[in-house]
Amino acid sequence: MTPEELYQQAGGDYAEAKMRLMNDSMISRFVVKFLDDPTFAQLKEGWDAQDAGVIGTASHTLKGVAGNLALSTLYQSSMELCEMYRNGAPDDLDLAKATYERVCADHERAFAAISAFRDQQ
Amino acid sequence: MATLGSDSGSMKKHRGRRTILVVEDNDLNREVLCAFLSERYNTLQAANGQEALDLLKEHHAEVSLIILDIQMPVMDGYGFLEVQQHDVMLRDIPVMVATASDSFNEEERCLKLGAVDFVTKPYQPSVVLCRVSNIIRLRETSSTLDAVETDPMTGLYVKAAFLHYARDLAMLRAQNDYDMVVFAIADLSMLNEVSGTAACDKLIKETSRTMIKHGAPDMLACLAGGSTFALLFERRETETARELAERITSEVNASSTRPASRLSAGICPVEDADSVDVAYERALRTARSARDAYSNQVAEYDDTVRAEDERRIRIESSMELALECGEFKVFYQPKHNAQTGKVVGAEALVRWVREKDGYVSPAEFVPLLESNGFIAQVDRYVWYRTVQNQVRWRNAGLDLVRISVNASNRDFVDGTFAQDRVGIVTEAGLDPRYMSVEVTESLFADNVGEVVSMLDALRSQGICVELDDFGSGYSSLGKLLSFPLDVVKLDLSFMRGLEDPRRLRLLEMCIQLLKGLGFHTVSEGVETAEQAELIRKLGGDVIQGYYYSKPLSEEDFEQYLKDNA
Repeated sequence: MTPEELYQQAGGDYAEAKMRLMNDSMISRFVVKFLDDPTFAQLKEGWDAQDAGVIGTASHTLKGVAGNLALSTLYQSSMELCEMYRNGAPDDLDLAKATYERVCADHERAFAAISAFRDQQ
Repeated sequence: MATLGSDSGSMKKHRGRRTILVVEDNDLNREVLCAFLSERYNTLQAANGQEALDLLKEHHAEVSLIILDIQMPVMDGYGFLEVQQHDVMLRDIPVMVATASDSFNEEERCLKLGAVDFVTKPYQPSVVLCRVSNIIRLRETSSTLDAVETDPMTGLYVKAAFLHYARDLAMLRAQNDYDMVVFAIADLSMLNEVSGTAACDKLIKETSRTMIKHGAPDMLACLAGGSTFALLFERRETETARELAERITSEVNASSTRPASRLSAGICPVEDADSVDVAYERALRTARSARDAYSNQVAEYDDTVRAEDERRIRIESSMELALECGEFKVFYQPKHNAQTGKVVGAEALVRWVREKDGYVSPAEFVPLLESNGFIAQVDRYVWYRTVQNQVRWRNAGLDLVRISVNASNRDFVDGTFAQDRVGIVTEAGLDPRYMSVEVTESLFADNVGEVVSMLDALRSQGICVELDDFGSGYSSLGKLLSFPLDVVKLDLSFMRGLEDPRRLRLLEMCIQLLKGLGFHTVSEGVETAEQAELIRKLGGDVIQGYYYSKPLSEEDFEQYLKDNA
């Protein structure tokens, strides 16, 4: 699997990744660190406890992580979730739940692709 | 008071790679940032604001820039900025805040807290590197400028920087009215000679502290020269420039233990940005005038000073032409043997008779010419003219006498004085015994070795050296033995108040002391027969004064020589 293929599978933007991480070597080096990043776990914990503060902070951080790695789909969904929780719990909890579930799906997709990439290195 | 330079500790010693502190709680984000920064920079890492502060306690001197995340546990970015801005050791380290692209409020708040720039996440390496490079370069240029612009001892601006910023201020805030206030310490060189450099430095520091204490926090101020300070006063209703100047001079003078080193002040309005330099010069001249008026240490530039200025400018602008056209005339005041009454010498004195303005007093033009250096050319001219006169009188069959010519301290600056004066005498074919040089004690304040060497060179060629004005200031008897001298001229002040037995005794002792040390003496200012008789009785060698003659023109002196042959 090439880095370009990885980004296709992970729902990322390879061109943007080259811009942000400069070269395939850096991409390969840092994208795998996503697997050890604790942010999603923090978000899940916050969601399970329905702690609006934690949800807001974690989704903000996750947005940053995804953005730095050019995992654009995850970046988009976590940004939406972050916006919803900018001023505490949103009024529309159903929409928040739907958005959270998209974040989970996008994270799972990226995680699986990166795991496969790491395993083949 | 704009006293830059107090953060000298923030000057980084830069050799090679700079160091950047990255403050970000997310490990991956932090590592990514450090990864592309490390191509050009060393990096330090902290996971929150508190960790960053702890790191900086040890490493602040190395860190050239901080990249700071906002949302962090323990201490967020705002908390860090608030602490940093109040810490003298840290506040000059520029901070670049890393923010999300949609957080305008974050950016605004951080900038208000002192951050200098921001970079949006997700990071764009090329943009981050450029911004980092630009900020570091700007900061280092500013630090270098600080070091160049400020005086290390007082922290005040140096003169050039002060005038630069004063011009800027006058231009940018043209709606405000400003006064230039210049402070001058009198006789700092004398204080240096008597009490040493430490005493001078102490007075300068005390003066600067007093200025800072009484001035507004944002007032521009400088140490303009060795003994001169300046500040730019923005006019206000609460006080005038004069009131501020009086407070400062009163406090400094009250605490000074040396009345001779008093602080005076001159004030001149600043008309506009273009006239800042002129206002400074006028205020300086006014300050110097004020220091002579003991009762009033603060003076304002007014019509009198303006008229003096204009006269000074006319004089200075015409001096070169005056020399060429022969407006400088040489007069000779005879010297007589105190015992026999015979004419034994004369002192050459320069007078300036301007074609349009008439006679200019030496008291007026000599200080001017000394300050602008033209005195060296005038002195040379007097020497040259006198040598020519001596040759002419010798050829006319007159008995020559030794004529002394004054040498200003400026004459010795370029080190060619002896060579030049000897050269003129030799070329004219005059016996050097008939010429002598008069110097003052202040000549020996600087570069003593070089001066002594030049005077030795003169004496080795037969030209005598006379010390003028002995006793007029802080004369040092001990130093007399160090200087290559032949004659000591007692200042005319010795001839005053001789009805006081102590002054009489002083005169007697001085003459005996000088003779005992092997010097010939010349008593100046002898005006009466009684004074002449007194000098004779006390064993003085030579008398110069109105008792025998006033200074005479060349023609009259020539006749005087014939009449007294």
